[in-house]
Amino acid sequence: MKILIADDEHISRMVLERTLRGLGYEVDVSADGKEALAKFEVHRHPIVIADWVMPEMDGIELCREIRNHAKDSYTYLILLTTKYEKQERSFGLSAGADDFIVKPFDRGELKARLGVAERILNMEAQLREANIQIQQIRRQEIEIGASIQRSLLMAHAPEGINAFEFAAMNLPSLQIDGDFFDFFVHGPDIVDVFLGDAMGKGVPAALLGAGTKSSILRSISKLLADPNRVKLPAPKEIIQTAHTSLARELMNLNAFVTLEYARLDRAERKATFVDCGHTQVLHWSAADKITRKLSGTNFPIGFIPDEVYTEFTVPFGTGDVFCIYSDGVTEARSPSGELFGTDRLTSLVDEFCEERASQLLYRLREGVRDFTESGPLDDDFTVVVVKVGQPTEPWNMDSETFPSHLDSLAAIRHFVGYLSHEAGLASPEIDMVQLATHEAVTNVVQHAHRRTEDETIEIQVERLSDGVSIKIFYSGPDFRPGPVSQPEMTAMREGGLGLFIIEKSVDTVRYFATETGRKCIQMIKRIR
Amino acid sequence: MSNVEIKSQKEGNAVTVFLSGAALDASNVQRFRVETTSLFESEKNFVLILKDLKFVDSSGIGALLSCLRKAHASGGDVKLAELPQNVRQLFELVRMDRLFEIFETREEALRSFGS
Repeated sequence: MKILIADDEHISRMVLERTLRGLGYEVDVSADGKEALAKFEVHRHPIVIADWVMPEMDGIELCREIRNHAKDSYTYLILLTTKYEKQERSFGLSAGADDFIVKPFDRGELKARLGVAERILNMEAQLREANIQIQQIRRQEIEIGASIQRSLLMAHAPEGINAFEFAAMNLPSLQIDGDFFDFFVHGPDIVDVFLGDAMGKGVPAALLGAGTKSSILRSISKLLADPNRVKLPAPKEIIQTAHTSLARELMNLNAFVTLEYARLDRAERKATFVDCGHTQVLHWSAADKITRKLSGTNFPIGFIPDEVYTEFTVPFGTGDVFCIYSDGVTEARSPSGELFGTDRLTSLVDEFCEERASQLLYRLREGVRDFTESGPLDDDFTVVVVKVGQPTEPWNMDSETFPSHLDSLAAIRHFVGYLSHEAGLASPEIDMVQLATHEAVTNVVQHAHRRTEDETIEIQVERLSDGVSIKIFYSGPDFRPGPVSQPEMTAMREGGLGLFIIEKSVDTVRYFATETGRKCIQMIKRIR
Repeated sequence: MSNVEIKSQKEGNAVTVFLSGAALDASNVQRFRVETTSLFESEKNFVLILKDLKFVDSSGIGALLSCLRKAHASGGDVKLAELPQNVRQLFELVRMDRLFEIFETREEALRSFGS
């Protein structure tokens, strides 16, 4: 081990040098602080013994300089002193000295003190080494997390499907999060999308997310492999199956996962969701010209052992947009600490809903970036945007049966509204079709089905080359209005208004009975 | 079944009534009639703000007509303002615009009462 001596007294320096060589050390000598510092900067001696009082630069200053310069390795500093008053020593200690040797020194004491110095230097070296290893492991952990994220947690959005246009984005936060998503293409018109967020940060969250995702994919495969199956497993069935294999494990780990599972069926124009405590899905409806926030009622997976998953369904049509995202989006913060929130995201979807999925996604990212003023993300930023295109097989006819009840009116208006939009009708025409259907159904419920319970009404919507035909099928007494005339509209009377509205709202109305004896009201609205 | 939310406030010599909800139609019109009876019997002049009412049908129109009748009976009037496009279209279709005075904004409607 190399020792640097700094002492301006020739004799004292020589004695010290000889003694140290005798103890087996390599020795460098210098006659003052300045010279010592110059030598130290070249050789970085692990031990420096300096006289307290020297010209040019004294021992105290040398200690300070060495402490300031050499931060990457530790140097053991011993001050030679004739002074040993307590006060002086504390001054030396605060300048960076580790120990003191009083002149004239005793050989045995010097040897023992250098032994202490070596022990401390060894320990310091080991600590430093351990620290480097820990840092390396941390770096590796982040790399592992990031590679899990890239390879296991994320997926490529399906391309080349006419029915839907997908765009997906994940921007990992600094610490790695447990966000994941994937797609399952059942056919040209049916695609499942799921997006989840495992609690926590770092590799544990990434592993949790990867485990959950693979469990969901396994559940889909398992259910599809059943030879007795005739139709696709329902989303709630898939999540229930995944829950069975996951929930117990998650609860043992005190962990949970929020998840949105969506099935988009272009042929049926229906999106079915299972919402496990996830953020609200945004749905821009091109027919209604509004963005709705959709949410279900289930807990995150891993909350409770006997959760029963439920689905909800919304109709959709050409031009509609679905936006599924993680809370890293809505919980992004502005520099003043304000949350981005669902309403801001909704406004962006409203504003850019006409653009392509990838462009809309870019706009959302830009919006959040502007809000956070490019600050770092606390949480993963994960978004899947789905834009609805044309179905593979254009629909010609669709029908649905509703309970004959006034409470069904809203759903019926929705149903005919969507299909009228699909058939190419524009906004005021769609309103007219909805209104006419609403009035006709109200008449059926209030007149034909007045005295009967548990009746149903079937609504059939057919696409015509130049419009749409709505047929309302029901059983029960016939009611055929006579010639409908302009009702006497005074402030005193409002009779016959419903029938008049129907006549005025559509181009043709026809009342007839089918071969099976059902009654039918048919209305045709042509595109102008 | 969704209900129509009714909020009212006195503004000068008229009462502004804000109606909001998914629909004013056959499914909830009975309730609407019950809930508005006392209001329309206690005051004379009304401005109905319809901008947050998504849908109105013939039953809804009937209910609004009976509000108008009550107001007329006490020598007052009901005026409408801020109609959504589809509701306005319906009112024109059934010539309700001949019975109700319709305004673009609440301020214009209030001014017509001298409020």
